[in-house]
Amino acid sequence: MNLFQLVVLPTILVIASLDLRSLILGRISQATWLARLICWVVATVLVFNPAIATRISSSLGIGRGADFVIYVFMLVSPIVWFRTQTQLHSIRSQVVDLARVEAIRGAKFGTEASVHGDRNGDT
Amino acid sequence: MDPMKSERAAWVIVPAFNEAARVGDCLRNLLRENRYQIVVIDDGSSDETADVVQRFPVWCLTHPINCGQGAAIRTGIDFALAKGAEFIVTFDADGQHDTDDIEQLLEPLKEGQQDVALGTRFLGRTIGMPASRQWLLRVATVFTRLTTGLKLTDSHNGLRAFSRHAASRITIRQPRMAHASEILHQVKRHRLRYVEVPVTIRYTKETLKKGQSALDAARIGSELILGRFAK
Repeated sequence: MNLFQLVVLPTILVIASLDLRSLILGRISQATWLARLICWVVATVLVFNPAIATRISSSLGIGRGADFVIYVFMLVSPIVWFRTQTQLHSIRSQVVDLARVEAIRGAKFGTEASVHGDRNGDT
Repeated sequence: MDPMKSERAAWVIVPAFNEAARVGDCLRNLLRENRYQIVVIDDGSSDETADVVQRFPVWCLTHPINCGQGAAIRTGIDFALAKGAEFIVTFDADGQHDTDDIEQLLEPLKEGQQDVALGTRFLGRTIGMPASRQWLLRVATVFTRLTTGLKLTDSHNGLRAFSRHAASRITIRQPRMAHASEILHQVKRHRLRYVEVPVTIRYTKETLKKGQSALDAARIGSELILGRFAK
């Protein structure tokens, strides 16, 4: 086992354990957990046996295994980015809704202090 | 002025973000008409906008954080509808708009001919508009025509009026500047009757600083796309 594999294996195990915890606590669905688990298993297999990536890439006519991994990354990362952005958009919307409710609850009617041309302090 | 006035009322919604220097004059002009209920939504300003507003006989709603103009308008619409508004006008706090145009906007709504009246500077008058801004707005108008099918001459004008029926149907989900496009999409989707009304827009150094750039136009596009996919 080389140094990279020594670092990657415990990292993947920790992430997979956190995913399992999230599943048990109901924070993620079974489908999401399964999809993530498949990713981690595939990553582990490719790290410990890079020849598999090379074989797959050769069969697809790509050449090097590293290129195959980069192409997959390039395909997946926009999807992940888009999903993250939509989730962020949803969270922002919830915060905005909360702020709007607070604003309506705290509505105040002003005085007539400045209405007749008294500009003191209104700039 | 009785704040609980329940007659057939027109409400003017004024979203304001860091407008302490200009909102006073804007409110003084609006109050001169003495025909409208006014609600200012202080959108989490870091200056004295809310303090200035509370020196006038108008409603002041304060967002605890800066949510964006779309969110401020939605807050104002919800509040005005709850207070029994029959007509709702959106009006900028920075002095760009002319109070004389409000009645022109309300006229087709009061006659029951239309549900929405959209201000258009290109059939009306612009004062001090740079050529770059005109070009950007023309492109936005063509884009809106292609995406909504609405034949408009000005798609991003903040001066507009809604009947109660239209305001109840339109739900602004875009908190920031994409709300202008979203409103037009909803006008189309709900098959609301609309008319363009010539208005005057006055540009100053301050209003131009806050206006939209080409980069903002790209941001609005991305917000519209994300908004469609967000839950």
